[in-house]
Amino acid sequence: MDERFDIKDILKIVWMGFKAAVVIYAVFQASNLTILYQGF
Amino acid sequence: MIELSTKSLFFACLIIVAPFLLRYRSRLRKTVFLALNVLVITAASHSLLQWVITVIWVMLPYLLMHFWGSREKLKPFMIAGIVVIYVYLAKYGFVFSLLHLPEIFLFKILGLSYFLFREIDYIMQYKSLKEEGYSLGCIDYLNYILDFYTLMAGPILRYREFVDDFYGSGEETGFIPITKKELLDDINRVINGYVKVYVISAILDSWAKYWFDGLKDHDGFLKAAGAFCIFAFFNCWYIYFNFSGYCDIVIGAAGLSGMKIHENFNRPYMSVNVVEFWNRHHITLSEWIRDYIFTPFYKWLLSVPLKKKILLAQCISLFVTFLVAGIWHGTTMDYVMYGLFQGLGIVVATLWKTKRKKWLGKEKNKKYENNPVVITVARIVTWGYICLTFTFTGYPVMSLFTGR
Amino acid sequence: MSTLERLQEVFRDVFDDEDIVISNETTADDIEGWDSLTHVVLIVAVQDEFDIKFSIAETNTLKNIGDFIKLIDNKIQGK
Repeated sequence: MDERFDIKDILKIVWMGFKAAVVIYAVFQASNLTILYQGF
Repeated sequence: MIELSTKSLFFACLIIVAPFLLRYRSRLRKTVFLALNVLVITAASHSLLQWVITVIWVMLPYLLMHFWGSREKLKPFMIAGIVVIYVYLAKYGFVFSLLHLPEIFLFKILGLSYFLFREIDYIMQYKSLKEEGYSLGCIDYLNYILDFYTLMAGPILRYREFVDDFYGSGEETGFIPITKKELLDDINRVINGYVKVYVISAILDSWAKYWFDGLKDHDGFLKAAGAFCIFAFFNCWYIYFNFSGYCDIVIGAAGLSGMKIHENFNRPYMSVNVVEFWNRHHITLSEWIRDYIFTPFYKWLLSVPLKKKILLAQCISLFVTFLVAGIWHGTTMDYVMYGLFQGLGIVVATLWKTKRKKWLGKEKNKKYENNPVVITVARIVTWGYICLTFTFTGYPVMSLFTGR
Repeated sequence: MSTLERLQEVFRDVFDDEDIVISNETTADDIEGWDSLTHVVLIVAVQDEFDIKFSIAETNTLKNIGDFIKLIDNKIQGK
């Protein structure tokens, strides 16, 4: 992969980082973690 | 004892590290993958006994086919045996109480029901796979059954697809190329999946629980019914975000490792009837039950008791298929009800479509089906019905009617 | 009757439509009402008509009618 990362990609990556931060925040705040085990 | 939050963290680390180990085709790749799969199973086992039972349960079909794979007549008995063991390991409440069976194994094996699907696929396809020259070695078999990406809740892969994808054309070696777009898309998909599961579905789950728990506080049927509808609404969106989010995580993560996993969702709540719903929700499950439950049963009905009565054979087969699928979802009577309602919905949709075609004739029927008002109403009615049937999955709805 | 003609009769029967015309290039998208359910009905009807048996893998990888006819002819000859 030798394509270069332009400004659009940088913005995408920043947005992804923000979403990841939201998830981490939610996980540490929530007292209930829900993972679907389909009953198992 | 590994707790839930540690498991999630472990899994998150795994999917970050795995692509660096797996995105490289070499003779070692399948061994590396096996090592990861065994690691996950071991981490998920709460005791040595559970680990041993899991190993036996997983190896059983491989050994059966290895020694008796050519005996076609034994196949139905092998399948039946596997299913019986599954029912016991899964601890189906009503089976246990009906037959007064002792509960020897008090643990729940992670991914048990999905093991069952893959084991049955392996057994059923064994003969064709052998004839087509597919590798049926132990490592490939174990990687297929234990694939940590699809371990917890699918999507359900077939042996053929798994092997084809794992080895590619068989001639490539070295790093599996990835474009910038693919890389960003896969990572984005994983992150979106996490948002869906840990943020959106977590909130919806707590709201659904809140309204369900509050049902007993409502006096009067109308108030309780209204509260039930609110509960059903939050629950159905919880299911969608939780399950499709999980699929996003595993599909994106597997993509980063150079593995392709099938899509499992396609805007399910846009379905115009229950039949279409099952082609858009948990797609790999629908395909599996179509191939391994519906088709054999339907063929048998047509060949022996119901020759030429196509519509009747279809309806019975559909009803039985979805009843079984519903029971597979869970081990209590609520899930039996779920299966019953799904079966009922499918049969009604099928009959309605057939009768309507006859009444209206081809032209008018086509106009009817393409009418935007009809489509919108159909979507709302279907979604509402699905919403209500989903309340039986995960909540003791039966107890509301039978008293606690 | 050629395989194509016999197959066309099966299609007309299964989809309950006397106007259906199929060719080697016809795909599932071209026939209205061909979903995974009717696919199974169709396969069973074809097995009945030609007195042959298909495996799941064989019928899931068909791309168009031309492929289907090749498969049917192979099965008939293989008997």
